[in-house]
Amino acid sequence: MKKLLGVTLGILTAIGGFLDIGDIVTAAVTGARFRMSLAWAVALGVVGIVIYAEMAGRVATVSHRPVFDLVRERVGARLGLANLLASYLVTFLTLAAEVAGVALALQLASDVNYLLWIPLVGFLVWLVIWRVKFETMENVFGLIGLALIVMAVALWQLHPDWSSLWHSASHPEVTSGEGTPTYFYYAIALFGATMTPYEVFFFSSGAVEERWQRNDLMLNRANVYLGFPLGGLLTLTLMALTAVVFAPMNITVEHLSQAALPTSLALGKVGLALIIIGFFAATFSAALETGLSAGYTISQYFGWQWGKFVRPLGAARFHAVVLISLVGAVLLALTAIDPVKLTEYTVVLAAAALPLTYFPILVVANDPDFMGDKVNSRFSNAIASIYMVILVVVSLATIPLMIATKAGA
Amino acid sequence: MLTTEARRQSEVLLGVRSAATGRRLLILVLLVVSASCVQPVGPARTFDSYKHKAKDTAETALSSVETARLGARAAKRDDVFPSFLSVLLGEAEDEAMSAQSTFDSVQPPNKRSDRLRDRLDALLVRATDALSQARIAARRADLDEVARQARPLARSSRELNRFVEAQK
Amino acid sequence: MDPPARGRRLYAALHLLDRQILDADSMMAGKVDDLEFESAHDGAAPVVTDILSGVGALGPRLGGRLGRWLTGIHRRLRPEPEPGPARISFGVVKKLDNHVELSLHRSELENNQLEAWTRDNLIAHIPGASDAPE
Repeated sequence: MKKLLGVTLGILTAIGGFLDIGDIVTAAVTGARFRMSLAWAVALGVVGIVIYAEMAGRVATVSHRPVFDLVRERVGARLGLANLLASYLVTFLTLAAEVAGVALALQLASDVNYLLWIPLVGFLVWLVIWRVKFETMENVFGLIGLALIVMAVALWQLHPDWSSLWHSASHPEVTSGEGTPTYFYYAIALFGATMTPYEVFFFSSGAVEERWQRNDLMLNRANVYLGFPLGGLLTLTLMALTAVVFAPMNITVEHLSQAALPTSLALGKVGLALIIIGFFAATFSAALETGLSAGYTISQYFGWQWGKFVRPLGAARFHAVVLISLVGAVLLALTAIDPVKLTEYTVVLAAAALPLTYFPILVVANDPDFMGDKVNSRFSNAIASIYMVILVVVSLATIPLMIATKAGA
Repeated sequence: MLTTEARRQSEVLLGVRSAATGRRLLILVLLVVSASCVQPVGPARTFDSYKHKAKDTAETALSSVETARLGARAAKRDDVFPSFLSVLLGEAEDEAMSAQSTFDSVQPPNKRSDRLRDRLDALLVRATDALSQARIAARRADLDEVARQARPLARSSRELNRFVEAQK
Repeated sequence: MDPPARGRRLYAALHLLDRQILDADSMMAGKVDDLEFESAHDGAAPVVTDILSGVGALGPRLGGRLGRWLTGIHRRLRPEPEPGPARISFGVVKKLDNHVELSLHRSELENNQLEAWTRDNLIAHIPGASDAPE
């Protein structure tokens, strides 16, 4: 019974914690612009992250070391360093975007300018990382994130033309008036938002923080195979909401307030309150995760003691990196760079860096030295390798498309 | 004193290329991103390209107006908190005004463009006016006044729609 | 150096380099960033004498501008004018499997400088730093 409760909690937390500012922004923007014809990009991304997160979780559960820790041993100091630089850069930018995202959510609730919230948000994120127990942190914000289920209720309440939505999703085509490069640019953005690397580092390090043992492998699989796809469904729900409400009126989504509007129209103040709470939880938990991941990546490359499972005095450099990264992220957000634009650029860059960040995971998961009998099956390897090819193609296409479409203008 | 020369040499092929490539990619990426961020408005040299800019501007303003109309509808049905509405309408207004000022900064290439500019400016002024009124009312938590802006906003919507269609 | 001995050296390096170092308390104490050998004079295979760890060791190994920058950081952390890389004598290695286990505590290691500095000058000043994790 207790095991069942644990599994359920894990799945619910995975659903609630799946979305972050990148998913919210890209889903809302593409829904209004392309209706559901980019749904496949989300589906593709969800399958990808399910495969790699399961691998990363398995690596950490079996070898008791997170995947990033093992990267350097497997691929060497140089390639490991290239991996670190790319991973850290993307994680840092994501952290800044998430902090700005929390501030935007608070602005929606208070009408106080988001810039004024940013320093407070940075401080709160740091404080929670410093003081709150890892599991508590994950569970609390994951469960609050379930408030986003209100979006599904809102969609239902709007009585959309379901067959038209389904048709748009299953017959992807470049919407009239839009160029093909722009279409694929946004496909890459959605893909990058779904497969952001920090999720994998965090998931893997988290397994060590929570001291998963071999008999937790089932839990790992349940979280990933059930939780993540359901989370992806929430992303698609937001896409459908803007597709139904904004696309017919030629409204382009440029602000977070617009992302919350369809729910408000469908369910009134209650719906609005819940979606704002959901946005807050989603971005705040993502800020916690990216903040910790910034510390994990650097510490694990250099072999420093890391983690919340030791007292801070015992992992000084790790906590210093987290603190400095947060300060840097707050400063970046305070430059008043448009948070939505920052988010869009970050997810696209994440997409460009995907092969570099994901390839070592595949290598490590196949190493019998660390994995024993739990190395990848031939089937997993087959799919993971196909994905590696997709990631390389996406990565190569990103910069040219960014230039050709002027970043999706 | 011998150190791991052999290992270093075995890493050379893979390592040096990847680290150097990684660094070059990083610099390239940062350049591209900063170049994409700064989007200076290019001049319009022909009537057609000016017309294109006018159409884009009108579409942006239309998006703001339609967002505000939805906001007004929500206000009428008491579906929103005034603070949220204030943010929504404020951002819509900012979007439209920014599009207007960007468009106004473009030099019209010829007399025909001048006339187009005058027409669009008139529409934009009415639109931003209605958006401002709505925003002001929302800040005062006067949901009824926001709801009343539905009519001028609807009119702006029709005008801008006609304009956009005419430029296609 | 006869070829079989050289082959074995390479083999050992691949199994030692970039490994995680754990101290006597199983706390993480850096990575094996480089190794120091002593050539045996009687024609036998060379022997690993020291593990080199920390930015002072990683810098020279990586080479290039990045390597020089890392070495520069290392130099700034040390009082002596020409600090060599932090050394861990191979004699204190207790066990070798997936990681390198030492018989010393990490506070006794040369590569702990940055950790100690950060702890004493930054982290120790933040309230709650000594609280054990719940």
